[in-house]
Amino acid sequence: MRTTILSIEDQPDIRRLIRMTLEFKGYAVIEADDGESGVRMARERKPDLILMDVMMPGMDGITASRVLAEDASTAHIPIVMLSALGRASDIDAGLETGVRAYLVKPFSPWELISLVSQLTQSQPQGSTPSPATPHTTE
Amino acid sequence: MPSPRTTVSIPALPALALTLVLALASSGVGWWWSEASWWVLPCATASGALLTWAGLRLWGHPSDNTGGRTDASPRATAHLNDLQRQLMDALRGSEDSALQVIDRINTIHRESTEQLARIRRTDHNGQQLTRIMNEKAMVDSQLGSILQMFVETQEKEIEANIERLRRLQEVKDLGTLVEDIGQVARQTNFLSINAAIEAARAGEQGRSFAVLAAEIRQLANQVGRVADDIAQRIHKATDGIDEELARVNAVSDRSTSSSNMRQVIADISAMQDRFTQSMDQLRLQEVIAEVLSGHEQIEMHIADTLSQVGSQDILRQQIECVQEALQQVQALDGRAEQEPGALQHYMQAQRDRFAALTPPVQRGPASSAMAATDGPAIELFG
Repeated sequence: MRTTILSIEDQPDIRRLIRMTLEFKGYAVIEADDGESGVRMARERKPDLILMDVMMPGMDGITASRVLAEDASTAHIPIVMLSALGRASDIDAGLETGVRAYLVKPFSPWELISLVSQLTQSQPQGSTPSPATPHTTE
Repeated sequence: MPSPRTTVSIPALPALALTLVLALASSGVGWWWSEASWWVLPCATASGALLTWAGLRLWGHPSDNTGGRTDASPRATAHLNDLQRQLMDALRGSEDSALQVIDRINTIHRESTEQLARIRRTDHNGQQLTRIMNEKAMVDSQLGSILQMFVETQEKEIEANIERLRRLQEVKDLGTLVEDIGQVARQTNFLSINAAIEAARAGEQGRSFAVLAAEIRQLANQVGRVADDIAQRIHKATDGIDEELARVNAVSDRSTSSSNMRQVIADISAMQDRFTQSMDQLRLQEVIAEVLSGHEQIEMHIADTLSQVGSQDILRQQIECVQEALQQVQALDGRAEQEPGALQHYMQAQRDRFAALTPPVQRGPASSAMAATDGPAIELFG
């Protein structure tokens, strides 16, 4: 069974690019376009990893991450934040919610693949990605 | 019979200063609003000159030889009445002009407010445009990095395939060795046949040698079959390998697809750099912010000016005060001998009344800015 990644992102272009990147390396991708539907989908589908945008209409990524972390049924799912907010204070605020890593857009696709592989303990198809240097809590 | 002459004692310089202030104020208003209403200038200037003339005639010129004193007579009283009427006319004209100026400024203010609202909408749209442009730049950059990953992955896979084909080609080369083995097996077979013939000729003594020759022949046949089998398998596995390798080598020629793709990515990146640079140079938001700030200043100046024109009412009260004083002076003039000193006391009180009507000078930021940039500030009754 393929590793499944839930991408929660309101911008269709970025969502498509994330899908392209992950499917290229053999991952299955499911998508949500806002925080509320993302939380609902995470509870229903139990993905192996969640990619979470920060700035979204309605429930933002920070809130959605907190909700998922406090829910026993989803607390085990690793979350990687993807955001255009790249200041140190933004990154700290994101990591404080308990997410496993924080990537600033535009992100390196190699870095994303490496993180997903590492956090899901899965091997991506194709070539070995370059070493990644994301902001992580580990 | 000489007409009785009454001496009116009035300090000439303060009185003249008061007159000049009124005249200059009226002329000043006319000068300033001539920008918007050219016809106000002659009107206001004329009223200013009239007031000056009236003042000089009433209180005497500072250069005359009366030491700042002048005399009033019944004839002068008639002139004073004329001057009162003229003052009234000037006052009405000044009020009418001011009302028209206020009306025009109100129109400008209304249009300016609408213009400000339009600029604010433009500012909002500009912010949205900038945000969209930044998002687009980010998406383009992201797309470029993903395409880069695709190209790198594709190149690595092509190289891996070529390597696999090269190894297969090496396997094909083993086919000649297998053929050699088959040839050896066939020659061994012939030798074993010859050995069997020679063993038969030897009779009983060659019987054991005949058995050995038969074993060797059987072994040679077996080796021959295995060699044929290996040769067939190698042939099957490597059939067309040369053509395939040649084709892949041609495709993997780096001057074709990958380099083209890299060129496309480089072009996108360069275009994005130019785009970002243009956005920086355009400074759209800064320009809009400057226009907005400038227009807010204009609106503030207009509001400030409106309030200054509103001081016209104070001017009217001051003129009325002077007008009333003129009547009183006329009356006191007639009773100067019965009530010596009354006129002086009255004029002292009149100066206090006039001073009470004079507002303190307001020097707000808008007025200061206007004075510094747009021309001299109007300071009515300062």
